[in-house]
Amino acid sequence: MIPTHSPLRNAARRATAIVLAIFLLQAPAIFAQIAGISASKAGAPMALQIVILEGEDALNNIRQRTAREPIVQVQDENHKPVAGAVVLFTIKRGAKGASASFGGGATLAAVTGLDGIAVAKGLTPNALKGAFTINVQASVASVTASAVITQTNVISAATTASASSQAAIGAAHHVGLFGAHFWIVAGTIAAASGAIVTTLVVTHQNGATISVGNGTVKP
Amino acid sequence: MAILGYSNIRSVDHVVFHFVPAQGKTLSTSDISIDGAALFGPYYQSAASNTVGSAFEYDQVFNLSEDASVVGAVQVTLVNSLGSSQTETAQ
Repeated sequence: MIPTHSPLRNAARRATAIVLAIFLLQAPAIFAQIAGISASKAGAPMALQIVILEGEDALNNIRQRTAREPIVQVQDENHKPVAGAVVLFTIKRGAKGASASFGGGATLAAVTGLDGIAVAKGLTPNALKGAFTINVQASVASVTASAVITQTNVISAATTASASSQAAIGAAHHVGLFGAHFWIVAGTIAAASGAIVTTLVVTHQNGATISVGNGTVKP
Repeated sequence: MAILGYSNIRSVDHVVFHFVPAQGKTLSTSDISIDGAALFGPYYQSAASNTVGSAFEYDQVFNLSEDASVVGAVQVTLVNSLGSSQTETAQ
């Protein structure tokens, strides 16, 4: 039995306090590791890379009007999945006219889930045989990455489309559009004090350039 | 561009514009993705938005290096945490 106020007990108390303090200082990191939360998830990643999980070199059946939906995973510099990344799929028509669409549109935007996965749902081939490409751009804040998926439209009974992925993003039409219109504004556009927005701009070598001006939202 | 829409959960994370060149024209800028949170966040927190539910009018200005006739159409898609809207095309 050690006396309550003995030097040995006091030393033990100090040692316990020091150990506890060290644990508490490191606890957030320990708990973060347990929860699987990487530093890049808490903030913006320093770099992105796109891993093509499905859709590369896919053969799309023209007769069945079915196509392999591209599925990609966005990863950070540590190869950890990045949630909340905006992924833009843009179809580029092939040299022979082969192409596809996302419900009639050439572009589809998706946002990665917690697993870093984004699915380009609704891909439908056109009626022309041949190869075409799907450009994939991913962005988080000002960090971007790109990749290219190549697919080929064929007339074959052997090809099948992949089933809808369970990793698909949630039900559509929870956000919707009534319409969009654009027009030319004559004269100088006044630079109103709008919100600061970050943008991802996809550019090519030739042609007119488009830059983002002021944006406003109102009832 | 003027975009009329709604968001049931009163948030828009991204707005994606795809520019289609007019026949015989070329565009060096094909896609622009705008951070919608910075635009729609303050709007949906405002009292003014409460009067119209989740509806909005979003006006976005784009500056072109050439005459606007080089643009044949613009496709717009809204994205929030539940997914993406249908793509709407303005011509």
